[in-house]
Amino acid sequence: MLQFVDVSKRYAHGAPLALSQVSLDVAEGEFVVVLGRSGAGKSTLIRCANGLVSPSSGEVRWNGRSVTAARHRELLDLRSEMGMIFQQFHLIDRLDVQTNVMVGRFHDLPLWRVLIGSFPAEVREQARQALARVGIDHLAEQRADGLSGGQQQRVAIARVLMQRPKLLLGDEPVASLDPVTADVILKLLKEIHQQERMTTLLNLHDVRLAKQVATRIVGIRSGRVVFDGPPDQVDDARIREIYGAAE
Amino acid sequence: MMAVRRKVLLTLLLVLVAVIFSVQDAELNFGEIGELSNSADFLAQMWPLDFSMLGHSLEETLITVEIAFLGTLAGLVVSFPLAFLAARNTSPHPTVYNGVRSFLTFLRSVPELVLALIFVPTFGLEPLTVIMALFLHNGAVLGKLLSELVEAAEPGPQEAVASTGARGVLVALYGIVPQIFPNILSHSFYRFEVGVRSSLLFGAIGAGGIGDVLYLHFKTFEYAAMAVDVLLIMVLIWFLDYMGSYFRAKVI
Ligand SMILES: Nc1ncnc2c1ncn2[C@@H]1O[C@H](COP(=O)(O)OP(=O)(O)O)[C@@H](O)[C@H]1O
Ligand SMILES: [Mg+2]
Repeated sequence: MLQFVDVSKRYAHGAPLALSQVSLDVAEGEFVVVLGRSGAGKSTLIRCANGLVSPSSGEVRWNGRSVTAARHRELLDLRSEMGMIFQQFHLIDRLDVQTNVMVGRFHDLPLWRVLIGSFPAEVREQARQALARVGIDHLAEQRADGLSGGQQQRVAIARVLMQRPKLLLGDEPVASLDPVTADVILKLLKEIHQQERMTTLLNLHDVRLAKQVATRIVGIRSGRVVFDGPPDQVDDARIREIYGAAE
Repeated sequence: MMAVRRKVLLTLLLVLVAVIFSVQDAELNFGEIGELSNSADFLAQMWPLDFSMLGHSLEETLITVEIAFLGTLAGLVVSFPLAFLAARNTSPHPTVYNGVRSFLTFLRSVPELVLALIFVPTFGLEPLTVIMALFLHNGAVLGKLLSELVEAAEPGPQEAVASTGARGVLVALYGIVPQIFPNILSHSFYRFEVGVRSSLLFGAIGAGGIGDVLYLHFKTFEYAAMAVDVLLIMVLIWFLDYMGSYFRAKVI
């Protein structure tokens, strides 16, 4: 469903390749976790999926359509089919939780409604339900920046539920959370993956967490895919291969 | 060490030369300082204060404030879209970015007084002329300030909104505006304060408001009434200062 075809990325002239000829095929129903040390190119890979980053060469395809070549309306349509959550949550701090969730529907709502902030009652209700689904409907009226990290990530997940995408992208979604909360949030993502049949592509720091949730693990080192296989194949030797010897 | 000392000496010398030339050119006549009693007389005639025209002066004070309010608000409304066109990260095209930016820079460089003079032939020495001058000036100043706020906005929320497939105008409205909103308000209020001061001065050259009344009372030797105008202006400026700091503290 999501294909990386020979994707390379160089951010600036003379900079090293952040991604080097990455080819990867994410199939419907998979839960793919990308592992790699800091600076390996994990974020770059995830962000190429929905065009937040444009590859320097190669192509990203989404169900046969090129994300890389998509412009304007076409790119917006593609993006609306992929939800994304971030390490730093990236909510709209000064707005309330419910509005943050309704952002997931901005692509489909009439422009004038969003411009003046007049959301239909059923959209508000759906936002409530999405919040209930992640267990924080009681926070709907609160300002987003008053929430804890775990709660903020739940809001972001509710926004994705609201968006009803076919694919969930996550750039280190639990790296800013304490270990217990990280576990809970990751379980929630796994639950959504199973119940909503949401294909998922995340990068994570933690090998143990990755093996708990992934159906497939991709290891990246210096912009290259050095491992691609089921979690049970990820043993100490593989981990050394992905992360390299300690410096 | 020596280099620093020479720089300091050179700077002092330049300042001294500038003072000498300025004093000469302004034809300061300190000989007349013995006649300071004239000013003392003038001050003495302010007492007792004459409140008989207080009602009218209050109305005119309100007009001064309204002129600044309308000029600033109109400037803000126009500067808002311009700011996004003049910000690197939201401008639809480099040509638009450069064009709008140059236009704002040019307009900003024209003093309010000159802008006002341009409208005098059309509207006369009237509040509308001042409103137009403040509108154009504030539009340019706020356009530049807001464009800098837009450029400095955190990319995170913008990316989050963009990742849902929302179009650019919504990314700007939801991903940027809430972040910079407190700054927009405080910049606008500051421009309003500055606008009130300009509006006072334009009043003194006859364009209406309390500045106009004050000058009229001065010219007709009604110093006791003029003193009331001065008090009103002082209260007004104090009040704006107070309001400014109050709600700058409040909105953050
Ligand atoms: N916006 C950017 N501009 C320039 N270089 C970048 C940018 N983002 C990432 N890089 C560089 O690309 C490489 C890969 O970064 P990234 O994809 O963030 O790795 P990871 O997420 O695995 O830590 C790093 O060398 C990083 O410095
Ligand atoms: Mg990263």
